Amino acid sequence: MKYVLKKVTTMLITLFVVSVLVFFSFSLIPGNPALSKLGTEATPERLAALEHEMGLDKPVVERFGEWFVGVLKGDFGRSYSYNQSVTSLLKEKIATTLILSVMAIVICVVISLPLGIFMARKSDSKLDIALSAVNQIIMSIPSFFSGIILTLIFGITLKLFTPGAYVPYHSDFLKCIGYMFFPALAIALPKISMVSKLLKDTVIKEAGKEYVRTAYSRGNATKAVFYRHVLGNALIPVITFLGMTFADIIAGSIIVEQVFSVPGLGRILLTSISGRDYPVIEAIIRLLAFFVVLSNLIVDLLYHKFDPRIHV
Amino acid sequence: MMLKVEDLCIKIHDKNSTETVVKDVDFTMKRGDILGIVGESGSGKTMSALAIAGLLSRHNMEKSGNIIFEDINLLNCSRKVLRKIQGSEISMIFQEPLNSLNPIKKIGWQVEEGLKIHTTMERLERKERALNALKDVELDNPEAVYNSYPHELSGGMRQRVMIASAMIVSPKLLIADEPTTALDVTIQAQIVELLKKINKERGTAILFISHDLSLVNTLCENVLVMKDGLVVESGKCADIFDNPREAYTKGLIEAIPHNPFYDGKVI
Amino acid sequence: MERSKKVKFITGLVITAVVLIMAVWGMIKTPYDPYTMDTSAKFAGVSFRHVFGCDQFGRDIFSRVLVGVRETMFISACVVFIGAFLGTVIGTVTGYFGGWLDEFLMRINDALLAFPSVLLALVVIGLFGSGKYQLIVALGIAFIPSFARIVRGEVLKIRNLDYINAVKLYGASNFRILVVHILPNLKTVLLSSIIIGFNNAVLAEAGMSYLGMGVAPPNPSLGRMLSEAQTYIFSSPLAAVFPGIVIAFMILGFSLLGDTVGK
Repeated sequence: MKYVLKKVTTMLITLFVVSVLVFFSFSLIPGNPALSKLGTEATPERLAALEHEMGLDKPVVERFGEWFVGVLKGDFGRSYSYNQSVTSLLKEKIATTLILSVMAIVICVVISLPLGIFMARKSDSKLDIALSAVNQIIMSIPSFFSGIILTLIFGITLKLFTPGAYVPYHSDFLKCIGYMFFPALAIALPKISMVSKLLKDTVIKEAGKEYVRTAYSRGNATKAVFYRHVLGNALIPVITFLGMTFADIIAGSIIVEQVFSVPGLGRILLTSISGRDYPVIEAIIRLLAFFVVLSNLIVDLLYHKFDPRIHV
Repeated sequence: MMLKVEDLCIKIHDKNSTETVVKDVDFTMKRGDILGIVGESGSGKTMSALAIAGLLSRHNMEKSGNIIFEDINLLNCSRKVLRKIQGSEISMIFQEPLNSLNPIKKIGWQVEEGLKIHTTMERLERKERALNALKDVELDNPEAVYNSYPHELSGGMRQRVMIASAMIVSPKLLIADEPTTALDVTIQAQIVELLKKINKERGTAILFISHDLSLVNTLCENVLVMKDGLVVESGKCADIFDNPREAYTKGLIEAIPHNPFYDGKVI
Repeated sequence: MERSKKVKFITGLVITAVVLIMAVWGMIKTPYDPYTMDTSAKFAGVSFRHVFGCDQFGRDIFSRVLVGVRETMFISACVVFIGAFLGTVIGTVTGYFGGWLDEFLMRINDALLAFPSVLLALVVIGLFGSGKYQLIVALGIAFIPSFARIVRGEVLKIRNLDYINAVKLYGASNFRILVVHILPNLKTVLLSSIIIGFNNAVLAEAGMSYLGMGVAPPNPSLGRMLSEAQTYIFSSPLAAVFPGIVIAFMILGFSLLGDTVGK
């Protein structure tokens, strides 16, 4: 319990640090957002009025205070370029990106764990060497390129999906999942190689430890030694790695959304960056930070459950 | 005879060389015997013990001779037969109790594992047996130990746990491979005493491997002295201690440090 | 080295050498001018004249790839240099002196480390706008935390060795201890981190330029060649395949080296 409390506190501190960093970096940007919003229509009066409306005339610290209170209430301000609140603008995109990321994580875990176990059991056989080589190559293919290859193979040649024809989750959830499978696979592919390779290595390392000998001395069959003793220990470093991978997967989804024209956080982040829509950029960064930190927290807690040696 | 080891040879094949680590080892043990094997590291004593416990890997190693335990030759019986004997009739404890216990499983689970494999006992009965086994090895608070993890115990407690997990199946032979080397001197004496008590009360034969001749002297009736894979001397412990024939054995005796707590006598 | 490791090391070395040759080739002279458009060669297929074919403007893809490799290697080298240099400075100072500064910087460092470098780089690009040098700064900053963490750990390890204490007893100054006794010991760990850094930098640069956040058009960049070719993927898929393969090839070389060097 103490452990959970400590981890949650660290998470909140991290989020606060990130928020402060993000807020002040964006206050330091050269250029006046009110001016860029008005563009050629700017007159000194109009500018002053808009600056007042956007709260830009107040001191930085006061603005930070207001902004922070707003964030606590779930109010992220208004978008400069779309005439709506950031919260309503991002709602649907958050769900879209989350669906994509969660699918990628599920695909990654479901494939890489059995694959790693299989490779460890066949270790040093010709099959393992071949699989390791394939793994090494897949690991080197960035997700946006594997996305293009998947589009070529499954979209254009086999016609299993129509490239670019994204279906929103609220109109047809199953069709949406069906479309998202390929982008999720593209994100997951390099991670699958990494996780399965790591699992194979840790299984082999654990299998040489002394407690394994004890397990054999009790009359365990090889399979039982593996599943009852080796696997649990071998998964501990894999869980740590998965934690980092989750963050990578969220970042990967931003890029892969672009490949498959999925209208998620990644796309709006890119348009906001080119349109200098700072409230939206800020909100997205903090949201992504929240997801990353939250996934780290979940992994920490899982880790705690798997490894009793970890104590506060 | 319960255990008969005849002409045991073990060769390890490396990539380009073959090394014979155990050469023509012969000995026998009756039920309730305590036999010590002493020698330096690399003398082949641990290899012999592992061979008897069936824990040597089957590839890159060549074993010849016979290890006959209760009329079954452990060296050429099937894996299935061997597994039936491992952990039910022959149990083993090791040098490093911390590394020899699975770090992420509770003590209770590990102590009970032998029962889970070799019997059809229900969970509650197994737990009762495990608690008794922990009590038998003189652990103060068996219930607490049952629910803790290896890293939460001291070295001496861990070795007691290992003994409990080995003894829960009431084996005929307990192989102890340097069980006290990693422990403090005072704890060493306690563990040796515990082994003695187990032998006396339950009639379990003990094969005690050590580099420490004085420990062997306090525990064992008979002893084998090994060097470079060969048995160089064997016989009654007291005879060899008082009157070593081999220069090597003399060296081992002289190497015994004079310990203020423990002077080769039973405390 | 065991055999499989040797095979990996040599393969990695050969691939990296080929990549470097391509970069140098891109620096000196390419078979065709990478900017000249030729409407007659629009989407020309693979031939002896155009080994990778031509793009939507009839520009020779192979020549553009060579220049792209050069750009990617240049950006990656700058990024790794910034990350390694500042990371080493921060890691050494915090690891050696400890105290509140260490606490404070490492808190921020760990918070940043939790974020993938592409995400951090996007934040910086969001602040400064996109372009080649902005990308270098953005990725360079994003690469500092991991170097700082690794170097700090290593410095902590070395600082507590007996011989450092002995040198202290002789009255050596902190500066001397850092420069003479600690920095040289970071070589091995830095070498492997730098190679892995290149692996990540190529990946990040390609990703960022795929998103249009890197080198500005019409200058060739491997990532943007991919995203441009994607528009025409129905008619000429090969234009996307070659730049992609080259990116993967570069990453493969560095990852093979990173797996084997210093371990």
